[in-house]
Amino acid sequence: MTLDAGNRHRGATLRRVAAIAVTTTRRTLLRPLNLLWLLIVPLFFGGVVASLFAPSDKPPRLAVVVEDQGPWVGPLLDGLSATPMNLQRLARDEAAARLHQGRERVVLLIPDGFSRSVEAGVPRLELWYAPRAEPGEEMARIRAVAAGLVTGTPAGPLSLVVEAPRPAAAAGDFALLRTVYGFYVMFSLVSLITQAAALHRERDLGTLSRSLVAGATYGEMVAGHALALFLLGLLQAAAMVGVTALGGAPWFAAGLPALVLALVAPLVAACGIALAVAGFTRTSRQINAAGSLVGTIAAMLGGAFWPLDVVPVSLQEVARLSPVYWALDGLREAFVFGGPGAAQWPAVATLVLMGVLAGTAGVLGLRRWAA
Amino acid sequence: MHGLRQAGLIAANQLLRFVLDWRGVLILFLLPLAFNLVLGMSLRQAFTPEFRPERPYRVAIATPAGHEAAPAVQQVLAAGEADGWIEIQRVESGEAAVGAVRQRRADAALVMPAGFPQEPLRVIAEPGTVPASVVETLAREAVAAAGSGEAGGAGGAGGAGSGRPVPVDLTMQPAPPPAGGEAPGSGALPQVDAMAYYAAGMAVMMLYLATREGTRAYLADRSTGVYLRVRAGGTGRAAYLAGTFLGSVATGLVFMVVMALVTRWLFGVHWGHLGGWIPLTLAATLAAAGVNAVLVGLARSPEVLEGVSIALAQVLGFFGGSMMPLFIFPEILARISRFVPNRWMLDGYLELMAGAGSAAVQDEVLRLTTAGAALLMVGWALDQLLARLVGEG
Repeated sequence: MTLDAGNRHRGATLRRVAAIAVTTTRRTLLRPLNLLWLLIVPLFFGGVVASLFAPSDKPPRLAVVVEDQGPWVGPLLDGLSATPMNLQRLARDEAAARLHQGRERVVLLIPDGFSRSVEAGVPRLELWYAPRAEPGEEMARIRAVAAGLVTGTPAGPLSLVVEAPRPAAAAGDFALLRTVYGFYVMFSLVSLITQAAALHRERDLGTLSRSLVAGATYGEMVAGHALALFLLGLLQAAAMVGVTALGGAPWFAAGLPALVLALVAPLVAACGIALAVAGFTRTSRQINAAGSLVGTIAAMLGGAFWPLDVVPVSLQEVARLSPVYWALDGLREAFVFGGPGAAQWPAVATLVLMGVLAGTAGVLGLRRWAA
Repeated sequence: MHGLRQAGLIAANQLLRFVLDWRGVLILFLLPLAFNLVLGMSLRQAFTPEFRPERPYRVAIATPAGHEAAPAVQQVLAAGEADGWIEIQRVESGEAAVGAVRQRRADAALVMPAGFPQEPLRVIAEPGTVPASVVETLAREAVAAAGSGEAGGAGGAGGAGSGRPVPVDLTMQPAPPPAGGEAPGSGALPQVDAMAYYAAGMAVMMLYLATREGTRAYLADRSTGVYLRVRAGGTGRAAYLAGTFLGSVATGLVFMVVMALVTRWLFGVHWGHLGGWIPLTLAATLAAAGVNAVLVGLARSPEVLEGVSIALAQVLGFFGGSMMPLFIFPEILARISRFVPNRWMLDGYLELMAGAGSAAVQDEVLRLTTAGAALLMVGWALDQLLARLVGEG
């Protein structure tokens, strides 16, 4: 084959791959159910999370059960309100029920004899707890105010500020962004794995064999579908960033390059994993189940839903196997720790490597179909 | 009587088709059990009040030498270190402390400025993490300790020696049992740990998909023509639809019973008082079947029903506390969740797991039954309307 013929052949191959990718993408977007999973559900969760987890200026709530009639109850409650706290008085039974139902984390019980204990210099209080992850600020505030009753120190806001190590975005804004991003990466994984069923559908419908007869190679078909997954992922990312940015998520606070790295690297990993799942399943239903399982468990293990600080050390190590962990790591480096650029590269490289390895395994799995 | 028999046969057929689709059954049970296992293991420490990190959080501390408040702050931090929360790393300056966090050599930093207390104490950490919360709590105690050194100030009760911290007797203890539960002192209450919470959470989330199996068969029968053939054989529309809903409820009940038994056997989950569990499960299944009945009225193909029901189950699961623990919900989300059937189901199961008796779940049972019956009627009406529109007799 001459050099010119080789170039023509490569050009034709690229055109066929692009055509397969474009038609697959268009066909996917024309089905309302696909739009539900690719855009509506992720945007709903991202939008809801963006609005619900938005930082609030409201003081924290504390449920209180009062069983003492003495003179020091009023000053204690006034002092707690001044820290500031939003107090809600409950009856004993209701407080217990709310704790068991998870509606309250803690309840302060002001027991009978509290005022006498203040007079004696040792204020006595009880804090009922529901299952919870960390010591709340309630304990510190209650101790400070109760001690102040004895010493006469007036309660008020404490001289304290909490800040991020790199102020790319306000603390509350970053917490919001991290949550939205975690949901986005999970949905990206789930929906791209699910969309990888397109190749199986082509086989079921007979369009795969028709394309092969028409001159496309099996490799071109797989490459076209992989490219279509990437295009769909880009579309999903653009929609998620656009909509949640309007909701207040500070995507651009660390600069555009940092954002591009944080979006493209997980997308490469997700496409590779989607191909791997397609290569090792036989039906659309199997892919759907695998998508839910792989995507959601990767998100849970990777720290998308809660900080990994609360999970056992062994699982913190296991988390490194999850692409969601590395995606979040890249985001945190850009916004909070090392800064955008160089500090993100270990996470980016790991994600690309994951994508390449999984994609290769997927292609090998899919080649069995060609036989 | 004849119609009831026909409905019963159709319900039994739906149940049989569900059981015979072993791959579908496997997926239906495998998904919640896998999530249950991962979530239960990941969050087991988060569900205990005695939570301590396996590795204490590394905290870089910068305090100006000779500052009069420094001893009080250091005393509080030392107590936190002795309690297993933190590991103190002393650094030269505020910049060094911030640098340690940026380079991830420390999980958080605490910087006392020379102008403290006029200038505030600084806590530096990744926002929204546990180290940030722990160090913030310690810092609050430190600020309070540093600021309450003068005993017997104006308006105080007195009783503390000059300059000594006041010994506050703040006892932490688990909540007493809910109404209708065991009386205190009658033995240890079963603790609702992460494994138990998510056994209930995942079961109620997947209950929608279990009850969908019955209604999906109805739509499949319509799309393949089986429905019209059976109708031509003398089965009335009402009997067919009643059988479908009955099959949906039966499938949901089978799912819940198997989930309860399997989670009991695999994860040691105690579901609580059987006299409370049975009516609550019946009511929850009815509500889930009602939701599916409405979906059947709106989505007229099995494929659409599958996609929409999965999305809806996820949304209801999220808002109802199946995915994230209710106790970490923000206030607004907690308020929204009170209108979600998932939340009523979960509240009921959690109360039973915590030792409550059957009386404690009456409200949930009533609410779920009412919602389920109302939704079934809506689904029925929708189906009738659509059948008339396409000219079915």
